Amino acid sequence: MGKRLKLVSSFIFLVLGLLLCLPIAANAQSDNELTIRGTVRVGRDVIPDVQILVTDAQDTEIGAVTTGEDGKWEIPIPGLGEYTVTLVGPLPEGVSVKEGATDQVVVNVEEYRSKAVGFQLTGEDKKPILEIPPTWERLLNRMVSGLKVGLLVALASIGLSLIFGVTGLVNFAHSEMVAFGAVIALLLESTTGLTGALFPLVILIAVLAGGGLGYGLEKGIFGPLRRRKMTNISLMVVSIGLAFLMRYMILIYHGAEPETFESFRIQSGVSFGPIELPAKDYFIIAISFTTLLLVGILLQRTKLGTSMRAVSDNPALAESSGIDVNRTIMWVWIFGSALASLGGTMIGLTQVVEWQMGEKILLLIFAAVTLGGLGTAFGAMVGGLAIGFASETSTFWLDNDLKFLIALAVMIVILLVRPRGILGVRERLG
Amino acid sequence: MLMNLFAEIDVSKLFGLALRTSIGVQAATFALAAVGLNLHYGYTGLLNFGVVAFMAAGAYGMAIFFTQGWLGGSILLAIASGLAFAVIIALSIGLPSLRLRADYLALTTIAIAEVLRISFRSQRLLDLTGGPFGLPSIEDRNANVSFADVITVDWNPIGKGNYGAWFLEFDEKTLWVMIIGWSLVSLASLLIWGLMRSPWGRVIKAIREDEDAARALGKNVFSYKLQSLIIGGVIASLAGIVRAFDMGFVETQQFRPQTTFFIWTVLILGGAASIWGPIIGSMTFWFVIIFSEELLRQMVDSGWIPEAILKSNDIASVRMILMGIMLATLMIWRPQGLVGKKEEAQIDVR
Amino acid sequence: MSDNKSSELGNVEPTPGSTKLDPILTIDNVVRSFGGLRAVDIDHLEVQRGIITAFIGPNGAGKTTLFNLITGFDKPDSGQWTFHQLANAKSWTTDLSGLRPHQIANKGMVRTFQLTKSLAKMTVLDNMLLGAAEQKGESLRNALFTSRWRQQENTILRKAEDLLERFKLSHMRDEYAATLSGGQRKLLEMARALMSEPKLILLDEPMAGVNPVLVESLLVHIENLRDEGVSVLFIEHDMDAIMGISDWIVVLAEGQVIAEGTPSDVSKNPAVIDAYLGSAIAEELKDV
Repeated sequence: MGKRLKLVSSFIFLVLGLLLCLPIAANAQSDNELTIRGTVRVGRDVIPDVQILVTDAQDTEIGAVTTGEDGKWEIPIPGLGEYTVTLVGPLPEGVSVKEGATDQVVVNVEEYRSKAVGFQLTGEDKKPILEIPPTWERLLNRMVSGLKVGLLVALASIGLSLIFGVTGLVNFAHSEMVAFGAVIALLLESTTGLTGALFPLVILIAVLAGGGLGYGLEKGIFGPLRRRKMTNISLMVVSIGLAFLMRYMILIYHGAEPETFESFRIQSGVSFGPIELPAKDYFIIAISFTTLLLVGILLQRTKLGTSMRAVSDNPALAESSGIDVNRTIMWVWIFGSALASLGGTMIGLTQVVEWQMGEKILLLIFAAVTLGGLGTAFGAMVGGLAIGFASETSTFWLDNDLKFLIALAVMIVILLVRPRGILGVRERLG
Repeated sequence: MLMNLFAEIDVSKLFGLALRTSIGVQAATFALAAVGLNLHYGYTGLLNFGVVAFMAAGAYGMAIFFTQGWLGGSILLAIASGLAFAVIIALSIGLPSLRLRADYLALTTIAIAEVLRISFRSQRLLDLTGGPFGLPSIEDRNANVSFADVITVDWNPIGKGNYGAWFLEFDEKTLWVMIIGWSLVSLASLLIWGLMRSPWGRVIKAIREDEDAARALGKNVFSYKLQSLIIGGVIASLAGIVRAFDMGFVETQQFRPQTTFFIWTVLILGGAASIWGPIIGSMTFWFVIIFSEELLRQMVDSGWIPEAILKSNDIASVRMILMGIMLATLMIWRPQGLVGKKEEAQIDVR
Repeated sequence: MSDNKSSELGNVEPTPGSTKLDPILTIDNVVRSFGGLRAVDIDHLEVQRGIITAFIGPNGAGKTTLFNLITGFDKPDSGQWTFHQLANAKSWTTDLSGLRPHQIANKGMVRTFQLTKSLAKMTVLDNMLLGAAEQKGESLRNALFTSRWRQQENTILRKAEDLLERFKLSHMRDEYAATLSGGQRKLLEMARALMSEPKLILLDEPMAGVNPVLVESLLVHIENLRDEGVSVLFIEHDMDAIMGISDWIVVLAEGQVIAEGTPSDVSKNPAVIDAYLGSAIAEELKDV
């Protein structure tokens, strides 16, 4: 690169950088905006760090914020009309929604002024809530929840990375495989009554269904196309088409309404030292962590894992050393898709199950695998943890709607600076 | 039974609506964006998954400049600033990332498009971009004031009234924007035609085929790619601007990644690396989409398709499903689309 | 070997790194390592102008890597190399190190590839036209104005047709390059490289995968090039071909120049035979 070009490109970077900083640095909104606002409190005590979500009548997300230290929140809305305000949580230990009230409030904004919305909460034994926990404690909690999100993103990402490793395909439909898992699990729970203690059965079936989906995609679509010598770029475009097909099938048959698992409605927090999380989060962290551990063992210690890595490194060499490449690829699809399904179910547990969840997590997954290095399962784990953790923890300082920016910025920088990712291997030169 | 179905179907409306959309502003803007993408992907082989970033840059660049009233708030200057913004986006995508492998470039472009969209949507930029509500502000929109007025009302040479007949009846505003849109499509296509028949175009095609070969013959591949990115990007940004004039407002919902893939479908359907591809692709695309939607709607309304299978408010999703199916099946069975050359169409950019 | 141009070589010592009377390319201290392996490690090497020089060596000797380095397709860890554009004018030189591939090509040093890079989805003629250097119509400023490049285009067109005629590809003029046979592609790539009138042409295994009948004509083309004043540097495995047409041979092993000299020097060099050629090929060399 010539000197002048370097100069120009650093200038452009500067401009782009400033552009990126703009949303962060610009002033907060002016006062005369149309907003919905409120203070989350129980009795006279305010509750910080609770997430509030506003959706419009079409269920499109308008905005989400986390309450400040004073328990206050405010979300601008585009115009008059009906909005649903949801208290996403988490509520501190001992606090819950009052009997007969809900965590969702529908408001009708009829005039040009901000509308206040409150939730009816109650403390368990009428004991006043203690003062706001210190900053470090809230940061710690946010970090633990970042860890949880990181584990989930890792879980969802491994399949994409493995499939890329053995076939070279960047599968845009992967995120819909994640959503598929969540939707299947929700459907199972609501139709079979496998709730509460029986819920693990739901997870198991969803994982199996995910594996089946992977089998179907490889057997029915990608396997035959690969054997027709279609290039990976063409296959990538095919996978984009497939992603839209799946996403909107889910919309039609699942509906636009976000739903939550019955076994895990809003739960009050459970303390563990200074850490306070909803009970289900411990469950999620435990399951995800164990699964990742098992995946690691499977890849390192089993014959299947060895052949997966061998095919990933060099398909021709693997083939000549007696590995059935097509069979290995099939297993990677089944395995990766099953993991995506599990990840989806878990994400559905922490948040909501909705048709858009695939679209929402797609770029997080891409960011995770590029950070870790496309094609390496361990890279996806590390990348997923890092991306999930960074984006979630960033909400401690940044607006909620900017958390994706962190992930995307990491992804762009990695692609530009070190495309092979932190754990990837440099492509061999001719 | 079948006779019965035909009796229920309003064939005239079916074809009328489909035809109306296929020559409408939407089809023109998609064709325009596809002309830009065609230069990127069809001719140069750049896997640009961030078409929407250029459209957003054009639309927002124009809208921000105008609503802020900079330099007297002239609409022509506003349009120019939209195009300039697109050039900046092209440079900031291109300078760092044109050296990347094709699939990495795809990921980078889609990511940059999302960064742009999320930034525009941020509540912190409310004063500039209108955040989630877009531009112009809610008050202006309620008072029916828009940046589009100068173009669509003040400078509209067509007298007030409705023109045409049957389903092809348009009011003067729509007709005017349609004329602008399709004229720009023609101009852009002419430009690409002129470029591609020149030695410049020969180098561009060579780069699509094999960058290293072009380098070995002394061509500055990087510079050509950047030129392609800028020209195609500016054309795509014009599409964003025309669409903004048509709708009268901009908001981030218009610039979700799916719009990029709509345009990809349009291009592949028509035929990449051909001059007529984007135009035929866009018209056919909208005809098929609206025809299918309307057919389904009529069948659902008349009870031919039971509610259990498809409810009438789900029909909008069918559009996306159709788009997905089209994209995938075209790629598999007819990568050259309707009018592309088979020999040139197979993608094997690395 | 009577047509070998020993006159231009004079009495150059057949030792690694020897000084040439009129070098077109000199390479100094070029090192490229992959991981721990030093793929190329050349102290000093000069390539004589106006003759055919061959790089030989076993697989992994670093021949192609060296090609990639000096044409800018790969970056060395260190070192520099210089191009002497004018004959017998050591002062009129260009430092090529650090330049990008297209800049090096534009200096008059054009290469071909081991795996041919004929542009399959363009016609044979377009492939040829692309090869010409300094085309006005290739700049965006002029592209839209036919009048600015039409005349030059016609000149280039005539040149392309002449070359196609010479390389017996005229009948394929308007076919997609994809329809050519492997050997024809090699010919096309060579012809295309000539469009820019290079001073030094680097051919990476021009005979590999070409049927024996075509090899004959390829050899003739290469000799003709030299006779027209183009310096040729090529990598080859086909011993017969190398011994037949090279004026000078550079032997590489493990990234280093272990010997250089005329074909007869090299075939007699015990170091070459011991260290690399092996007995089977040594037998072949005796016949030369």
